[in-house]
Amino acid sequence: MNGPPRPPGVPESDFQQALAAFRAIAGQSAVLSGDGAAQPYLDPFAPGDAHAYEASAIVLVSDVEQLRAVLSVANRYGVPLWSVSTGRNFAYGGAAPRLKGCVVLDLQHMNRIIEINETLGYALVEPGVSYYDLYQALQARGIGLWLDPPAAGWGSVVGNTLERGFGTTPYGDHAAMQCGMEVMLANGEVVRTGMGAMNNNQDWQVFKAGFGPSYDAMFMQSNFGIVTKLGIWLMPKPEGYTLCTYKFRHDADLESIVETLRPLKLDDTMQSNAVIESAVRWAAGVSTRKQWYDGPGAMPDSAIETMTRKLGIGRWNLRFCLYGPEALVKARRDVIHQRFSAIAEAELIESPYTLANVEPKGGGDRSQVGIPNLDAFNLLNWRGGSGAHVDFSPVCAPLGRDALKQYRMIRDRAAQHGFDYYGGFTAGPRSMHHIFAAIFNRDDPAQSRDAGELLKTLINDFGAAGYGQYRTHLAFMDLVVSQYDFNDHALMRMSESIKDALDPNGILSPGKQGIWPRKFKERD
Amino acid sequence: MKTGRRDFLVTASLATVCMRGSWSATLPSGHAASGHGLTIVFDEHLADSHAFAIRARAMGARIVPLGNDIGMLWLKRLMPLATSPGNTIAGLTTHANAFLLTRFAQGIGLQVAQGISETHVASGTLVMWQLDADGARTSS
Repeated sequence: MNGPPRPPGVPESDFQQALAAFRAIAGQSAVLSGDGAAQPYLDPFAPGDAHAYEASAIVLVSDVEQLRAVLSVANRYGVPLWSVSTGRNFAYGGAAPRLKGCVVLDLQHMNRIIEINETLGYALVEPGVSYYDLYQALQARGIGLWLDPPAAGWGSVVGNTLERGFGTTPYGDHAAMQCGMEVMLANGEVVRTGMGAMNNNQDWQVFKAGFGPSYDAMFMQSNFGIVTKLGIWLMPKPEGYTLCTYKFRHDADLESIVETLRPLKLDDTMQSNAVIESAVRWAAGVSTRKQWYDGPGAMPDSAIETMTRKLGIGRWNLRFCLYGPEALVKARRDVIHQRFSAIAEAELIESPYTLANVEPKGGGDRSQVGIPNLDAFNLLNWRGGSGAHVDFSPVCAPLGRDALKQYRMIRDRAAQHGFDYYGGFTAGPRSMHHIFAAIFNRDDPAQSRDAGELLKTLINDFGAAGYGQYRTHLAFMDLVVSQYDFNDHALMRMSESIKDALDPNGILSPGKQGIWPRKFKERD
Repeated sequence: MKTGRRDFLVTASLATVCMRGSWSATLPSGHAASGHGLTIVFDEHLADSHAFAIRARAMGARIVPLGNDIGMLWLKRLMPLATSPGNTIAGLTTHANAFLLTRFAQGIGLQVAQGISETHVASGTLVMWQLDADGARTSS
């Protein structure tokens, strides 16, 4: 069929009636359909054919009542919806649905900052609130709280938290900083988690558990409901800070870096999430690949070595930030420096102690003091052409041997496919997110296809080695979840039971994280 | 890059904007100051981008440097312009900055033209892009 795809299994007449009903609910301009309507919702970084994940239409709702009405229509006609907060989940699919022909349910107009509580350090926001929005509100109201921005500050606070995104301040584990949700279930019922389940209680955003089972995590990376409000803890603005970067000269230093870092994170000497960046990742922020290498295949080690020397960076670069009164910052800095000085040729670059209201300039530095930015997108310039990337995101224990093993596995496999190792680790106390971006020119179909093949190969390699992903692109969700296979996939059986109980018509984000409603599984 | 090549690039890029947009190269002086017209976003770190902006300014366009936070630039300066009918925003920037600004624009329903002219300079490729303020869907 030509033109936009249709929801699978939905007769055309039913689909048109559903669209008419959506227009009656949300307004004529809030429903986008027809040729080209879904184009802005295609994945701009698709590793392959973006149209394999094309929406049939878009509906933008503005409030909970409109949302309830849209779900009622979707249930009536069996129209599958793919909910997005602001749709900026780039490198993992953007706003595109896992199932071709879904209607994208765009929540960006639900963008109220309902509360910012300076005393208790939290905000309560709707899905359409971006990190920039929340930052501007904090600034405008002169509130002494910092948010923790992810690498891409234009994303939704709710969306990133639900995807378990992370940042680089002490509040960098976004899912861990979430407290209290309001969720609309597929049948339109609104549930509040934790203390929010109690009328007139004021502790919704300060005590996570409530009484009895706790369900918040069930609505992260899932398709069991649509989160309409979310509480997020915010960091009290410190008195001041010092930004630190270590440069390590040798590729093999990675093992020592991680072994040195772990105890400092575990005992909270180092407060912020720490970021270990490869030379290419650092260089891609300030230069382009062709300045260093313009030949075939991955950058040779000799070119990387020349690049690091000319840019004055390390083969590995460790960023972190220390916060608080100057005496405490200095004490932490001295302990950390004493430990890292044991690594040969380690060089510390540190900013002078700076009062918290003084903003640094660089994007990575700004992130560490709670300022959203978009500098991470400079990687799109690295390879030339219409730069794009798809991310490979295994979890890594903070053990030097695992970090080194994962790095070498990715580096070598990426090189076989002609890709540079653009990667790094973001380290919390007990785990690290190892993120590798396969950067490609999306106007080059071969490169795009190669990126997809590389990702698939890496997921298989890592699964075989016992490493799992924390997040993945739409194209690999089924593959990744298939590796979570304890007791013959018991976890997935439980997820499917929950799915079918809460969403019997399978209208909410079918296929999200590999969780398919019964009606689509039966069709397969 | 030699000045001759840069001049060629700047002229060609401006001509592209003028041909595509509601804005005209024969814009009377003061048109931009009235609040409607062409706004050129430029990357102050790239000579070609800067030259493009200088030439555009001489022809009556308003010019805006990218600065160090493209997100704030969009939210504070460009989005208000983009949601006001009759305005055109264009630029000659790196692919990454073109991607960000055009995505911001698409998010509020703007028409986007991109990749009209590309040029390869020492550090990479510059992309010509243009946002047409007519028909913005929303100002969120």
